[in-house]
Amino acid sequence: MAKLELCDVGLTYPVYGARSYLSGGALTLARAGGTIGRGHWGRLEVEALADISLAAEDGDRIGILGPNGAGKTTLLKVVAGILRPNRGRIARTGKTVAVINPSVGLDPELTGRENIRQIAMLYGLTSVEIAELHPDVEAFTELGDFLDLPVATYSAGMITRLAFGVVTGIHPEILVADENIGTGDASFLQKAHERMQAMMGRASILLLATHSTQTIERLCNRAILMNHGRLLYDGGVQDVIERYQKDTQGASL
Amino acid sequence: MPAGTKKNPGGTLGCDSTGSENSSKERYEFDADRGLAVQFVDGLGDLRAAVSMSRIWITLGWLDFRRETRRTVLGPLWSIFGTAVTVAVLGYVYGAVFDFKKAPAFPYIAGGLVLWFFIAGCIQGGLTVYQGARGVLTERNLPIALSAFRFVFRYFVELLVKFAVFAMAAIYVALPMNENAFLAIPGLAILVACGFSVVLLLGPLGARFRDLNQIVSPLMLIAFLASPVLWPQGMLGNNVMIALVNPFTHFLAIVRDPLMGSPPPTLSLVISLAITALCWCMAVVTHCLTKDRVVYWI
Repeated sequence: MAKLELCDVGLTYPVYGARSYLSGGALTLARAGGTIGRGHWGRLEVEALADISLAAEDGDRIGILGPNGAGKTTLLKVVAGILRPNRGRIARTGKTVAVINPSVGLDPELTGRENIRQIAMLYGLTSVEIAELHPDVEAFTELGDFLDLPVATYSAGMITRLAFGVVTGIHPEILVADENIGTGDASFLQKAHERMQAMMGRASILLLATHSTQTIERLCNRAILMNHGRLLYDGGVQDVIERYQKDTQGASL
Repeated sequence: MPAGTKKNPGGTLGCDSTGSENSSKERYEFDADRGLAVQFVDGLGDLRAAVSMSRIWITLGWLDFRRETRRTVLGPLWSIFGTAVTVAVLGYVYGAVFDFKKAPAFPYIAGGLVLWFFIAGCIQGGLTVYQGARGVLTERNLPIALSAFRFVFRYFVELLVKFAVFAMAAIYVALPMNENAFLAIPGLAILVACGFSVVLLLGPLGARFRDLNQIVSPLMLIAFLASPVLWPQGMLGNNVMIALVNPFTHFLAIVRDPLMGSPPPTLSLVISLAITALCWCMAVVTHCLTKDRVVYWI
């Protein structure tokens, strides 16, 4: 059974090397992004998350909506354990994988096969899991003999296929995903969608950050709306989408 | 800011902690208000997890080493070749300048240089190790110590490969090696153990205080010239304290002296062990205090 709980989570990014940009000590709130303020010794800070409380259980498929800089990706990274918040608590049970930037660890001079291994390793997979992953990814990517050539010979779309194939071959219980992870050409698009959906279907809990309300309608049974690092609304998909569209058309963006 | 949220709020905000299901599931808990003790438990947990993932950092460290000479004709032989040329030239020059009598110049300088590359690599590279691992630290949920270990392993491989230069030099001068040479293995183990701690210690410091790298770079050249890497310690005569107060002297001695035929000096063994223990203590404390913040500093 997978479980996820965030309690009053707040996160502030320290900003180094930008001391003199802002005058005075006032908090600044731009249209996009978190709140810019000052912390210890007058250092600039960006408050990316504030007072986030969220609980999820098996079967929850949560879509995260919000304008640029709302804190969607930061929230995903906090859930994944990549970023530790400054305030609040988080607890989760279940193997978690974050699909935010799948191509980390990709080396253009290594072959496709070697890159599959290296990317998978950086997701912390064991050698047994990597061995199981190989045929699956090789079949999915349809790269054939290119898998034995250096990735430098690949087109951008082929590289996407490779990285995307590896991450979507992992079987997490809690899946934390950013929708903007690239896709490829039209014929591949369909396959990629199916594979991504299959991965999401296997996961017990899904957190999906996206700008697309269609994606949320299709994949999620719950949604949250964020802006300026705050969780504005948590509820049913249709309600949250309505709120989001109203906000988008209104003054706030 | 509601920073004062205490533990066990009794179900407010749905934050009731039901610790009933404790199977082999992956569990992750973090509390920004946790005490120092919990912080140390977390930090040690990160270290333990990194150690248990040795397969990952060994493989990646090896690939890092291979990457440098990939697609070259000689491959990893280049790192031997470059060092061999340096040793050949410096062996002639310094052998003449210092009139090596007891220690044949070529293997002495070869051993010294190869060890120095490792020492300098750990100190200078350690200060930028986490900046270099930015992609992994900001995108993957792995123990951060894994990136430090990966880095040390890469330099360890290079150290082993470059020992071929020492072997060539020893054969060239027909160095009379003896059974003491085996004592270089524990010496090397101490050196590498210290290397791991130094990178673990300097990684967070270098990420937070960028000036350190600028300060340390010129100091390493001074340390190189002031340590008995190229010149024989015996030349100091009555001024031997100049070498003995230098910690690098002892790390060089515990590996190089046995290879040159004499047992490692007891004083050097004691001092290098003490320094290694001290570095590990400082590294573990620093790691525990900074590991959650490093990702914000890079």
